[in-house]
Amino acid sequence: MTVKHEGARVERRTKIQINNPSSFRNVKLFFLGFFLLSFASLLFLELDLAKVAARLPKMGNVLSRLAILSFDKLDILLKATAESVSVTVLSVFYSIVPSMILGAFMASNIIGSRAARAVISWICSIIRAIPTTVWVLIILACLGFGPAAGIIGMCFHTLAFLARAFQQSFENVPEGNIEALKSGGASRVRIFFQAILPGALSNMISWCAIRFESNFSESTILGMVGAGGVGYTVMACMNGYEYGRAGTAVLVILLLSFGLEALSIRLKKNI
Amino acid sequence: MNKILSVKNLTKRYRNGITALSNVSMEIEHGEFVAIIGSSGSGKSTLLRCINRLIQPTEGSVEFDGSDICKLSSAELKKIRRKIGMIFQHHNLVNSLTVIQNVLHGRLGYMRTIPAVLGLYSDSDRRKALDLLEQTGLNSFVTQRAGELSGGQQQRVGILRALMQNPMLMLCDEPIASLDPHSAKLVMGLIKQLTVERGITCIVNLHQVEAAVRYATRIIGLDHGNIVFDDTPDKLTDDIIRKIYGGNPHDLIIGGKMHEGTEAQELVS
Repeated sequence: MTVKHEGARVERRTKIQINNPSSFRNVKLFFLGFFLLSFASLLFLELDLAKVAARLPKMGNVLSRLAILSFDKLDILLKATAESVSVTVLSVFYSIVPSMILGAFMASNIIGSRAARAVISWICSIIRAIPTTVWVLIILACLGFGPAAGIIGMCFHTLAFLARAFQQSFENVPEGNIEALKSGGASRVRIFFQAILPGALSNMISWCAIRFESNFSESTILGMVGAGGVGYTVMACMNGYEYGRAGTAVLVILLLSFGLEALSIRLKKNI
Repeated sequence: MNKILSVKNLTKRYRNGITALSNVSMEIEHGEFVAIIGSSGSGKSTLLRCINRLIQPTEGSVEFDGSDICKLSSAELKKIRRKIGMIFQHHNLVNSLTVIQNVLHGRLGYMRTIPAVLGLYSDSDRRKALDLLEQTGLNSFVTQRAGELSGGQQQRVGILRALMQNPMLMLCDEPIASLDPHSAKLVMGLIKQLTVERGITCIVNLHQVEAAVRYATRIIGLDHGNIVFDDTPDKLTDDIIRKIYGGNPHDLIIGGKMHEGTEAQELVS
């Protein structure tokens, strides 16, 4: 048996490559880089993992104290919770129409001019680059403490986020739908309301549901910087060593978050 | 007979350098049922879309109803497009809207902005849409979502949408290319019947030579953006089919009938 005649058979014995060599190399590089960065971060922060481990049992102590729920001043907690929910609802509600407009102006199947789309897109990126907490702190400085600052601050980020999401929903509407109405003599505004919006609606509703969930968790954090709501109650109770009340507040947040998630999943399924 | 459409020296070059149409001229008379045949990429779709300027031609003129479509302002173009109905291969219905809402979309060009945006169609439009749906046997689907219908049913809704425009001319871009043979026959028959009844001139892009021969009063063959045949269906010989499709008719599937050939043997050898 010479190699020359049995070439195919010899080749079979060598291992057959199944990875794409170049993309596999990139994956390897990514994990290597990630590992190195993690190690550098650990060194930079001078984390003493041993000390953290030693303190861990204390966590059980705190958690057990939180678990002894106290329903003292429950009315204050419920009022604060209602405030958080209201902030969430309003921050999404006020964002919907402006994001629809911005999203429409960014969608390539609605606005032909690339430059116009780019300008709006930059504005949204800039707004989104600043975290909600920072927005709220800026508004707090202008308006003073209270839920109004929370709502306005959250609106910025929500608006920029939803604009981008709605843009994608609009762009996913099949080009043929637009062409069909165009061929019948319909103007761009009519096409938007009669073909693009109905086609994108269910997608847009699920984006709003996602935003509703995340805005609720954000609104609890915002309470801690002074924008009111249940987050403020948690912080005040923890600072005053009222662990029982803090535990109740955490439980309420937990239940509400679960409820919202279940609700939004249901909504997405049925639309 | 008077001319309804006159295409003169139409040329379309795309930005990528491809010439889809080169110097195409044709005159269509009132009441004609014209089939345009040709292989993929021969320029059929481009020609149809240049007629209502969904695609802007590079050179030439398209005269329809006394005006050159290529020279109209965008407001005038919208007005004239109402007189030209269009049917698409993929139906292009808004799936999330109801069947009757899709049919009523044919009226959007005639309405004022606010009612059009809000979908407040007049009672007479609604009545007309309902009558059409009843005539075509779609009355049990009126308020069903369009996306839930079968391909053939969706295409029928597409035809009704175009009819709601009260068009003088109907452009059909591969209306049966993605339908099963049974639905295809139903849809072609419906297009023919509805346009003949109303005296609407019809231009249909077709892949199936057999369907073209069967339904059309005139066939235009396109090859690489040039008209290579323009006559009545009985003049369409094997020689001309060979010219249009660049192959032996015996090696082609023409309207579901496979001519017996040596294709299989050639593939094996």
